[in-house]
Amino acid sequence: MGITIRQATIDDIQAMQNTNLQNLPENYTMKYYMYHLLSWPQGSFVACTYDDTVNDEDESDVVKYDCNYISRENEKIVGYVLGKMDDDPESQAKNPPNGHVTSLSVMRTYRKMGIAEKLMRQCLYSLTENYKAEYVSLHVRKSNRAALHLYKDTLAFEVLSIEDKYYQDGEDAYYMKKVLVLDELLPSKFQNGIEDDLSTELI
Amino acid sequence: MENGSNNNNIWRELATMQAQIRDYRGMIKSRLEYLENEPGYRANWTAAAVAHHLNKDYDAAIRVLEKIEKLIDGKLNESDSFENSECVLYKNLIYFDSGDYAKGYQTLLDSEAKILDKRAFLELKFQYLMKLPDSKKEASLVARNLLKINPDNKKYYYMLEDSLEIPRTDLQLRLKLYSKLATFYARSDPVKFIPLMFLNENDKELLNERLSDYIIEKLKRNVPSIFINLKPLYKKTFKIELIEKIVLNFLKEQVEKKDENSPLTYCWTLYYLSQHYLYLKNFTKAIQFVDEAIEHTPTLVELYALKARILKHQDKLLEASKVMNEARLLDLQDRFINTKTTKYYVRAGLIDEAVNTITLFTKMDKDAPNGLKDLHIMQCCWFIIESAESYYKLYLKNKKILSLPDSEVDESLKKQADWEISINRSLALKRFNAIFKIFQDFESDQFDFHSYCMRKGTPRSYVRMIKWADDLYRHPIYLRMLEGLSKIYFEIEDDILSSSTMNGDSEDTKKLENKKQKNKKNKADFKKREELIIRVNSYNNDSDPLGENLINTKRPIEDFNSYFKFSEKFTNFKIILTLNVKVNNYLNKYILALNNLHKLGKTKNSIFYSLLLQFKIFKFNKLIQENDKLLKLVELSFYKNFQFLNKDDQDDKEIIKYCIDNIINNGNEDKFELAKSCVDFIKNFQKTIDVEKVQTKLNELLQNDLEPIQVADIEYLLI
Repeated sequence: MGITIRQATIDDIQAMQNTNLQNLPENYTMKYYMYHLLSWPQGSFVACTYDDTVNDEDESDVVKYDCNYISRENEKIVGYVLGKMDDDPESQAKNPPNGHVTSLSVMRTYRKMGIAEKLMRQCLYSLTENYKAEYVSLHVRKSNRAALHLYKDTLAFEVLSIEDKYYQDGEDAYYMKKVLVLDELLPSKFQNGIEDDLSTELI
Repeated sequence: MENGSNNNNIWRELATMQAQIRDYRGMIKSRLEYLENEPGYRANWTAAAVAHHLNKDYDAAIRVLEKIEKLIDGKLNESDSFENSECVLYKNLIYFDSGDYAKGYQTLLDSEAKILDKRAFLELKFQYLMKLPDSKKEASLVARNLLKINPDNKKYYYMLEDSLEIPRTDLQLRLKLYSKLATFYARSDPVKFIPLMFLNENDKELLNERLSDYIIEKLKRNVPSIFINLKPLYKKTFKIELIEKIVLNFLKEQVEKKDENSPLTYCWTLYYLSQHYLYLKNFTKAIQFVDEAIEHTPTLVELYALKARILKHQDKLLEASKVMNEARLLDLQDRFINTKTTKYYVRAGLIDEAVNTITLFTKMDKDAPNGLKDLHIMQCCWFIIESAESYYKLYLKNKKILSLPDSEVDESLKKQADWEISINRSLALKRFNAIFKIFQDFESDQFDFHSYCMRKGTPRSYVRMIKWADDLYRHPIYLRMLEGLSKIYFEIEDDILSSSTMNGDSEDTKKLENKKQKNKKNKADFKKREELIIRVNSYNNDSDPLGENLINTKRPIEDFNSYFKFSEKFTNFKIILTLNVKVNNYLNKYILALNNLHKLGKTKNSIFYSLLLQFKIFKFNKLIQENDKLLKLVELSFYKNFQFLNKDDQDDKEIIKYCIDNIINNGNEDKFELAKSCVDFIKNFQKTIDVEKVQTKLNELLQNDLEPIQVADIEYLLI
């Protein structure tokens, strides 16, 4: 199935919660997902599989019992990023607007396709555009080398500090940060292609 | 309020209640009253507009939004810009909903500077341009702009196609477009994948080339998901053949000149082929390839996971779960593979093993024996519903064991089954009930947002949430829960019915009842029971940890209805219609039942199986048995759906046999037309039925020009 990436909507949250429970040890109740989507509607994105060859004749009304399935869209969630803005009053008084990535996950079977990177790029661009975020921060497990590589090498985050025993199971976290500049973040810039000048005829 | 009290907060509280119960008319009054007293906050204007909008009074909603926009014009701070942007977009969304496209479009352009969310702005602009005359060209530029923001959203590609007015059937033109777009967005998946879907047999060579590029590039990069990616293409046989050749060739190349690619690529190629043959149900080859891959690289989690899946497809559930556990042991840090193992254990009926496995990733209180409570707190639907279904399966299995004669089954096995059976069923009910509770929590979770979203300035998302919550009880998990619950509750009802006809408890009920008593009395069993409670307890301070109170109901149909009533209205789901028929049948409301039965018959590709079930039910329903007309009606609606049968489905084959028997035995009625149309169909079942005999009988019946029976009133119901 093809992979499509789009902004998350409230219709996705049950599948997002399920994906999170399947993949990560840090879990949240539904209200926390609602809080994200209803406070920062542009902060979260999902990656889904889709199959447009589905023949309406034979499968349209079959109930898909998969927990990751979004019935309205005929899509299945395979990854998500849950983003927010810093809304702690104390911190808001001290700092410029800044974003935070609450959770990012891509199902193991869909790795190596650049999905996590693409989800992050959408999230960072959107937080900057909509909420004027000047920087974004996140926590990552010290042992999570793949994630560390993504943040540090691919997305140019920097490690600000190490937070002792940040996770419930006692593991330390890297606290990472990236300064955001809207023009530099436009996702099409990371496609290794020539730029669409919007004037050449396509066909 | 009515007697002049000026406690304005009551209006706000009332509005929140009204939003929760969807009393939009009442909500308008409450919101407007509150606004009148507190006009200094934008939130109150937004709230009033939302009330109008939900009540479908678009003009009033727009009026309120425009009024506040004017009042605050020029007085906004930087910190208000997000709320302002959202409210402006919200207003425009209502314009679009109201159908006034020209006005809406103009308003959208006028407010462009206020809108931060360019993505939403462009999406709306696109929608307008597609509705307005002579604007498709401009719409295509909007779609191109959207692609720059997100080149991985397949929707934008289709939008671009639509605005360029390329017919979906003009494959050459589409190909040209996607080739061009690939020069802009080389890393986008849709740009490469969409052509693979639409290219057809006429472009076999080109497709071969494209497929080859797509597959081999991914194999070289060791992407695990290539097979899942390509699965939609497997609906076309010629595409399967092309793919098979490409991958087999690539494998051969690697064997011949080993140095070029990494050894892992060889392994992933085998992995692909194993999935390929699994899809084609060639289990021997599937196992062969995956075993070779495992031998080649014994440390790759995915290989064992695949092997487990193949075994699962062969119904070797126990073996499958063990292989999946091997995969898990290779990467204990990864919750994904832990989840898979847990799931395989549950499916194999090893619920304790499953709980112990998943517990490695749950948070626990110090003295908790496992993570079950945490899984319930965290609303882990997938695990809870799988457990429920697994308990029910164990119940059925134990029931079967107990029904076997003593000579055929080991005594200790029987003793074990005897102890487990009632607990299996009540725990199934308990877990299904947990799903219900979670959905009730989701519903009440909305509550705070009725006022929060107005303050935060997110009315667009808020109205979507309302829609989401309205559709909550048609969510696949909820439907799955209903299906599971229905089996249990209907079974209890059947027991009650049959025991009352026999003037006393049925054998089964008696047995179950005795067993429960025994379980409680016997000292050893008592201890066993206490241990079990500790192990399966899902809530703190739960007075019914095993679900025994739930299962000991005397009114199972009413109990079922307390879950079902939330979903009844979603009649576009067959499962809902089916359950409707059954429930109403139990309640002896057979006209309602028949109406639903008829709706069910009308649905596309109606699941004929469920019709058969209902038919059987009706056969046993006394009221219907005594009413000849009704019985005919049931049969008639039954035959009208013949064409929807699936000839490959085992259950459907059973039905065909059943129908044919019926035609042959009672074939003097007016269903010849239908029966005739079935003949072709029947030909597909030569192995299961004696076609010749049927055809002879049908012809015989058709020659006798029998009078149609008088079913005018019944026909009325059938229309």
